[in-house]
Amino acid sequence: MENLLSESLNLIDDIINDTQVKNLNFYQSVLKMMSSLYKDSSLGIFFCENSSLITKKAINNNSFIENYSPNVDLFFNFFNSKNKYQEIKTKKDNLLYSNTLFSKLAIKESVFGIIVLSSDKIMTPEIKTSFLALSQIISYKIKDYELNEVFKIQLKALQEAMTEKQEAYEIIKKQHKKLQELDKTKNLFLANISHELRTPLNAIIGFSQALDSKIFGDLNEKQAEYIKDIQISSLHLLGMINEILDISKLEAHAMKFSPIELNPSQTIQEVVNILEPLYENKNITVKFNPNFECKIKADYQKFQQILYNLLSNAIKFTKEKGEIEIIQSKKDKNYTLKIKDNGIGIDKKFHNKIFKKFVHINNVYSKNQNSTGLGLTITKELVKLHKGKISLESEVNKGTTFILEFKNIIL
Amino acid sequence: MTKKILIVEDNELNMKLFYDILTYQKYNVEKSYDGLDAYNKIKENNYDLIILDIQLPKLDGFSLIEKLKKENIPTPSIIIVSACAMDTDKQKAKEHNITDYLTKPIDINNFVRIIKQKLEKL
Repeated sequence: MENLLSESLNLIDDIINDTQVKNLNFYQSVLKMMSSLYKDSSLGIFFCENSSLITKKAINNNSFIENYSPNVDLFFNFFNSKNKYQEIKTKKDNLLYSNTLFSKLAIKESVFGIIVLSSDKIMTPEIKTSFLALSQIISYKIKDYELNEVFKIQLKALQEAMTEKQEAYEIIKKQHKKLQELDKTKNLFLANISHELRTPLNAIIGFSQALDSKIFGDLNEKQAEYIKDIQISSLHLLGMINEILDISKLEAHAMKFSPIELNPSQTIQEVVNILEPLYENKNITVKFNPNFECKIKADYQKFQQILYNLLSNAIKFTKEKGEIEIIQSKKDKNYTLKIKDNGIGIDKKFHNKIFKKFVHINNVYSKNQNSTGLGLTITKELVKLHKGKISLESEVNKGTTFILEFKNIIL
Repeated sequence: MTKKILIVEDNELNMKLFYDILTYQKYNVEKSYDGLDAYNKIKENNYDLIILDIQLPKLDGFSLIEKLKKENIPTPSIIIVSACAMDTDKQKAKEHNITDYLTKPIDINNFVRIIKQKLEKL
């Protein structure tokens, strides 16, 4: 009996180690091996599909035996019983063989199949014991084998998933790099464009200023008017070029913040002076208190630009003979600036959108107003550089007030 | 004595603008259209002030300044007038000890005022 057992174990190991053996062949090989051990007998292994019931269909589908026709009732009776092992003796007429041994293939309580040995020979205790032992061994070996197969499949799937992930990562990395390069190219392009546009603009603005200053002789009324028109248009064009350059600087994080001590009333006065041709052209009144005393720490150019953007916007959206008011106030070290107009106003539904890039509000009205759609985006960023906050109050046809709040900016 | 100014500018129209305005202000003005020519002129003449563009043919503005410094050629006062509005260029000007950096388009009144101030200090 020991020979029988050790021989069968070796055979099973051989089968398992033979990597050429395919899934189906594995079980057939086990049976063939056992048939060679139990001569003049018939063997069968039947697997259930979900450890609960062997249906007739399942039996037929999973039967690997070639010359064995089981008595199905006997089979079911055994499977549904609590017995792990059963011996049945029948008359030779009913079954192919008179002696049959059933044993469940199971790991602990989980039954996944039945192994059957039938023979006309008397089942000696030696045969019975070895058969029982073998069914146990086969149970474990089969589960081992299946787990191994499952593990292999899962490992393969995992490897594939990882390769896929790696490939996707590589693609994203490449695209990211490409986008960064494109962004760089875009910013460089914008900086170049700005440079190229400034050169001819210098001649346009310079020559019209020279004519306007009358250093080379007087102008008649129409000529003087046209020169002013050229200057207004040039300033407008310059504003747009500056906006494009600023947005590219902001996006490239190349905006430098150099705060100095300044008097905001003075800066407001300067900006109001620059914009005089624009608001006088529309007969707009600009009110502010130039004697408001205050010293703040701000970046001069950027603070000037914030004012320029908001004031030129106010002028743009205020009708003829309208009014713009600049209100400064201070409390402790906090400085607040309000730019209030009685222009066309902004619908509430746009209030959240207007600081986004390329947003043109009041589309109908602004059709005649050339703009880049970048002004307020830049203004917000410039206010942020000063650690300030920008907000607005507005009502259609009543006017708009932009509110700038700077905390801890007063010296 | 009339102050002598060299304008280094490659754009014909901008050159004409600066030249006309400064001549009107009764300065003795000379023109140079590229960096190498400017280098030779500075070497041979005694200017009070250079109006210098940065992007120039043959030798750019910053290279010109470096070349003059390297060869120990006495450099007159310099006002940079460039169409380059990037902060990096202003920074570069600062590194060369040039604080007068005007970005095109210039305001001619401001331009004349700065030149006057600069020449008065000399």
